[in-house]
Amino acid sequence: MGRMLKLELSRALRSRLLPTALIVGLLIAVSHYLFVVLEYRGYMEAADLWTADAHPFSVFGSWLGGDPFHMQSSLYFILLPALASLPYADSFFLDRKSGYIKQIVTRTKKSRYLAAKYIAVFIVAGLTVVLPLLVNLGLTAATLPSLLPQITWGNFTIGANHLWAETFYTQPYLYVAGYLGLIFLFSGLFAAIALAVSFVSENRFIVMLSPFLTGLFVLSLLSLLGESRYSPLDFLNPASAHDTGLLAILAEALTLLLVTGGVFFLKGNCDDVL
Amino acid sequence: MCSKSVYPESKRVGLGLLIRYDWRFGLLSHLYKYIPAVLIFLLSCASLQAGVGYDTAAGILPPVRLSLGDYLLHTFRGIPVYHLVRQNTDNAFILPALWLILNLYPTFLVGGYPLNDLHGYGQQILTRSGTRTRWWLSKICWNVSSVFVFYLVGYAVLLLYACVTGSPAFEATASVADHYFLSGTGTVPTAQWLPYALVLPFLTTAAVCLLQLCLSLFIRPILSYIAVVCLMVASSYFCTPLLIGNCSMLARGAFATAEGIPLMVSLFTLIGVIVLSILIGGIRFHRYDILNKA
Repeated sequence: MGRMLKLELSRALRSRLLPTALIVGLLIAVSHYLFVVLEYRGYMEAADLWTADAHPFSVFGSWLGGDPFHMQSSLYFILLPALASLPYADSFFLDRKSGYIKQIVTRTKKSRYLAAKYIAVFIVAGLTVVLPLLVNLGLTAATLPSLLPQITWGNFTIGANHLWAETFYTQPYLYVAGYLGLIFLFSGLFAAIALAVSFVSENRFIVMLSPFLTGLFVLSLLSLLGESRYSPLDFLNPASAHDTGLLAILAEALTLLLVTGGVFFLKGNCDDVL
Repeated sequence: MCSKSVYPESKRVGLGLLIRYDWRFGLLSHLYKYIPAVLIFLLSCASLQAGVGYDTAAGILPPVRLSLGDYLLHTFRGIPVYHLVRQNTDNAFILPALWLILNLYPTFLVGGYPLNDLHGYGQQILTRSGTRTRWWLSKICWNVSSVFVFYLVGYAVLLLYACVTGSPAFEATASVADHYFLSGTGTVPTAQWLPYALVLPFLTTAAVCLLQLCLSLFIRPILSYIAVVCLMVASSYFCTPLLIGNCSMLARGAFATAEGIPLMVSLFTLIGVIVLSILIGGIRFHRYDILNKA
């Protein structure tokens, strides 16, 4: 299993679309830094706001995951499933189509291959989405002060009922770390949707976009019902103004895991590769 | 790159046959893909009806019979022009999810099919097309037809829903328009906003789909789709006709707001994008190395 996982991870990290996905994510992250964060810094220097009393811009309200005002933040989180599935999510589909899977299952247990595939897709998807966010956070922290957020400033969307609100106002970096963990988790689960869809579609385009379409459909449906806070594309944004509970988030993650993993492993083990 | 077929004229298929082939295998055999479209339009109507019902019960709105016009305004509303007011948390930018799915789902429907003809047995279709121009034109027709069917389905759902629950009239209810569409638009004459609702959404989506088709000849189809998503998100953030997504948002029409985009400006921009996509895509396809991409 270890060797299979190492093989799949090395294939995933050498995927031709991994650099492309990272570039797309970094373009959004860096453009946010250049057009938003640097503007904030210029504004602060011009107004001489380098004291906490004057409510200057803080890292935690200005980085890509903390900024609810600019396009790049919405764009990044709406593209999250697409970025997650870009590098390696279609690999199972391609393995079946090219016949590579026959070479694998004749040399090792199919269950090991499926497990290694799922884990590799999960990890690479999470890394692809989280890395640009970390870059943006690093750049923003190098430019703006890490001032402890104060609820009385009125310029943070995190309210008292928001997930981990107390942590945000006491240990904001821990809050950010927690959200990056959630983003990593859901990015991997979104990419796993493509693995499940590989069994039902003959079209690579549909397989790769199924996570994005699923996320967007759920967001639209829940928005129409007035419950968009339960959509991953909404609650994964740390600056989202909604008060989604941790229980609901974990329940959705578990559901995604069971559905994608269940379909992938059950169908993968039962299906004939010939 | 030679664009003339090696097959004699008698063995080459005409444009009509190609278009019929695409309709049969690219559209009619995939009609089940329009079921989510029915669902989205249905839910849009249901959400408006539920909201109005709630407000009527609360005394905010007088009792009304919702019309087809109300459903049209609600479904294709989009969001009003966004004005950035920094550090005002009531002014957070929120993506219009319904408008986004209405524009991105058709682009998903048309994304994967055209370039299938460049792989596997599909190359047999291409070589029997006669000329690359013929193949390209058939794909354009199929692309626009698919978008047309999507909106036909959508408008049919809206009309049926209006007939069953209210009135099939195009006139919007003034109180509903003021409350759910944009304040102050309740008195706008129907003849002024109806062309925006009936023509621009279809034309915008057709332009976006053709743009995506053209882009997929330069970059991978998945990346061209991501580019289209970026275009739509940018369109919802900035109000300019150059970001063509704005043309399909009724809340950004000139009839709705002083900063809005006039109908003719939208029409010319969209037609320009359509023509350019067809021309540039056609030129690119004539030079396209099909064998290396297979």
